[in-house]
Amino acid sequence: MTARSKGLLVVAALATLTVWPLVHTHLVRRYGVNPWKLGGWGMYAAPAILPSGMEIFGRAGSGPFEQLSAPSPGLLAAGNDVLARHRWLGRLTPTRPLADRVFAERPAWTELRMVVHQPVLDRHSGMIEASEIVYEHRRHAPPAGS
Amino acid sequence: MTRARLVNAFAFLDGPDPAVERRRADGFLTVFLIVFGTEYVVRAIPKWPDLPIPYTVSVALIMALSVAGLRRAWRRTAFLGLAAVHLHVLWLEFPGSANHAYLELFICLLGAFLDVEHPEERRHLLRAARWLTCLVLFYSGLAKVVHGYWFHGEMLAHQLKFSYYRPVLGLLLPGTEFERLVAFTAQVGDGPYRVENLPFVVVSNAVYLLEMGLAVLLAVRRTRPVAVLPALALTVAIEAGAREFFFGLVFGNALLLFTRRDTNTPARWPVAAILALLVAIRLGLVGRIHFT
Repeated sequence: MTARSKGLLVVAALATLTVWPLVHTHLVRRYGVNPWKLGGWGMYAAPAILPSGMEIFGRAGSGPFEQLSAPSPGLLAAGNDVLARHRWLGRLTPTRPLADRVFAERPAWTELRMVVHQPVLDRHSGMIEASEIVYEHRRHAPPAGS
Repeated sequence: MTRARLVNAFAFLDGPDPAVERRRADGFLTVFLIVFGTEYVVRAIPKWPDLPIPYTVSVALIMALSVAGLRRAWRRTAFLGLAAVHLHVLWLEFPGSANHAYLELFICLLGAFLDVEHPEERRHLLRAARWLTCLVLFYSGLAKVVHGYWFHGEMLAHQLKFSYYRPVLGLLLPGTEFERLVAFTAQVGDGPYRVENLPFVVVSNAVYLLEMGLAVLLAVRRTRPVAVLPALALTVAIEAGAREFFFGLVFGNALLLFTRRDTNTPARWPVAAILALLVAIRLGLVGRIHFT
């Protein structure tokens, strides 16, 4: 590879790195991605407050939602993993795999609601306020003929 | 013609004296290698008995490759190995990897991809490192503006929950206000984090203004000489407060690329002394200071 070709590749990489923080800002604002991570250079731009927890509710058919209680150790670990990723990825965190595990442990449930409790520092009041991010999932329909 | 223009798109970042660029590039990569290798070791020390095997192997490889890279003949191969191992660690820690780890990855890739003995490739390496430095500085400031937690000192006030910020920020606050903010534990209902004290608010706003302003001044050839020292001073001040010494050393080394003369090469010894001190602190031989 010639020096000029390498130079072109470096310029292309630098152009990408120049644009990425703008894309990153969009991801932060739209999906709640943590500004501290993913190479957007937003360290210290906003307080890195930990999510305070997650609750999972489910229901069968059109019945009332009930809270998931006594999850198995495996499900608990999967939930903690989602919560840890949520701290950085916000609403880009994949939650479907966790939903599938819950559906497997609660065969009667057809609908799920996962609620992540995320305290935020409100810019206008300067107070730390509670906020909730809700993910809803439905059980996948069984394959035809099963 | 277009290709030639494109490949020289960052030529405005070239140093004033091409004769010093070779030594400067050499010095830059050498300082980076000793900081990067030591960083892995120092981060591993507190976790040593329980460090998972993939990390133990990574630390050993990074140490060996960093030492190997100090020899010019092995440098590019060593950087390729460093990039591979570091990428693996980034992958293990994703999405929680620190931003400065991405900066280090890019420098490793530059060191592997470009040959500093070749004049044209050396120019590309230095331009890339300088542009990246401007980007980090500028976007760090812009992100603070976009998210809006620095206009009334909210972010700095929030950081007071960490004891290591208190000696520096405490100097800017009257006693009652300091006590009020220190009492918060970042729980729902805490606040307001808005600060009325003028020196605190001025410092808070000066941070992002300086970051963005100095990035632009560094990028412009004519203003570069006046921007280097303030940029270094700002980095020292921020990293002293945040105690992010390794990022400070990596970034300070990159800022030295903007000086008129080669300052990266002579920086090896003071940097080595600082690193020795950090290792001694981590080993518990000298004092107890929190740093990352």
